[in-house]
Amino acid sequence: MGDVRDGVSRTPQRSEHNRHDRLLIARFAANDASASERDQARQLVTDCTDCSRLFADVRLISAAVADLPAPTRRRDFRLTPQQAAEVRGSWLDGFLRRFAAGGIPALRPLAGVALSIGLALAVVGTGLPLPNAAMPASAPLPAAGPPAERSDNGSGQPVEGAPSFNSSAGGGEPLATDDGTGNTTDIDDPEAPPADAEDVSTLEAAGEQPSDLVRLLLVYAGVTLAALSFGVLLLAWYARRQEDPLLP
Amino acid sequence: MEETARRSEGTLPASDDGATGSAVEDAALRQPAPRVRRPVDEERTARDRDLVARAVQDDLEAFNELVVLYQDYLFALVVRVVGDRESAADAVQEAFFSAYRNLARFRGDSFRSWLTRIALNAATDVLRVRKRRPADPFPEWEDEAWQPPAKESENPERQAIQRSASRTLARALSQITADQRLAIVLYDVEGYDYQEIADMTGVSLGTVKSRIHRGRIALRELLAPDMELLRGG
Repeated sequence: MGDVRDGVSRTPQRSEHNRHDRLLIARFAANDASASERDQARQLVTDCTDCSRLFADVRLISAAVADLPAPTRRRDFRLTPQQAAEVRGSWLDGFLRRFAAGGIPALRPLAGVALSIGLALAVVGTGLPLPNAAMPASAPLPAAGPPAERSDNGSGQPVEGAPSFNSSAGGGEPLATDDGTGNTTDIDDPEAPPADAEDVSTLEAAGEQPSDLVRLLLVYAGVTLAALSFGVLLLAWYARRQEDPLLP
Repeated sequence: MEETARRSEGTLPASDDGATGSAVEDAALRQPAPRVRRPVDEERTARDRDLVARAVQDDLEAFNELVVLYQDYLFALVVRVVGDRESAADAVQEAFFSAYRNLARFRGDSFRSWLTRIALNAATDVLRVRKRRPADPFPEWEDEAWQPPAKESENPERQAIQRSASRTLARALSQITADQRLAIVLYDVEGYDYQEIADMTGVSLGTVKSRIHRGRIALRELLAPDMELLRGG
């Protein structure tokens, strides 16, 4: 049934009103319509009685909500010292809160970067990105190669007559035998070019030890840094899981 | 006379006979005054920062000063969102606990906004629990404590109308969605602007506007049979 007032049926206009954009009227009533919408809304409010009523009602409701009373507070929310101590928790809670998302904002990115650097140092230190195969074939004995294998009698003295092989050159270097006096004598490898025995002993003495130290330092520093950073990230993850859900 | 005045204010629609067509046009053309933004209260911000700095150093007195400053405001806000006093009080208490626990993490400009966001999160938790265990969603609408304080100068009839209007409006407000209610309360009651509400609730500006406008339309539909009561109030 249509709305009948003053003997005039409003049904046709009401059904037409149902097609009008009520949200537009609400925006218009709140002075929130764009310039292009404003003309259209003004037209609707002027021409359609229901839109006009909606416009006025929306404003009235907005004003009434603003004046709506609220019940008065009956509880005092001030914290007692006991409550405060309980809320603050133990030093461990405080420590964990420092690692939560908002505790120290730059902590997690920094830990992430430190972890990457640590891993990179460790990888560089172990020499994985610098395989011997990548060295030029004509290069002299690499400084960072493993120590020469020797036949040993356990007393530190080489076994008499036993051949001693310098395997650090990847197959391209001369072999050597011990002559029993501690000096090595090259054995001619038919496939290898001749090399000077003095070069080998000089490189062994001057190159290998410092290089190993650097490598060791890199690996230890990298692993330590990575482990610490990982620990911090783990703590941050745990602290985040324990984080106060009410925080914005 | 009063009716004509209200028509010209745009709060009363024209009668259907068309005799007040010009009043309708006036009402439509007269847009509400642009919403005046609350001036940033530098003094308040500085005071809050000082109190926060002291409270971080385990000065409970300083924190309790902040509680005294904001407990009425927070309670009034949360109770409108959750609808009953006990839940609201619990939510506000939790909000203050949380604020105290995490005071060192406050880095924003406005302590009031930070606290409001925490309290709204607590209120949202209450609503979430209530949704999971539906009971009487808003048990206290009939409570006299919700009614405006009676003024001696007003006649009893007018007081009764006002009380009835408030009760009706509060009940309607409880029936719209929680998101719409929150946006409307923050905008119409607390006076935050759209951007502040968007920041507080973590949604876009457009969503805030949409919630407010759709909420008002929903309220109007719920209040349709009682609009005369609101006009008379």
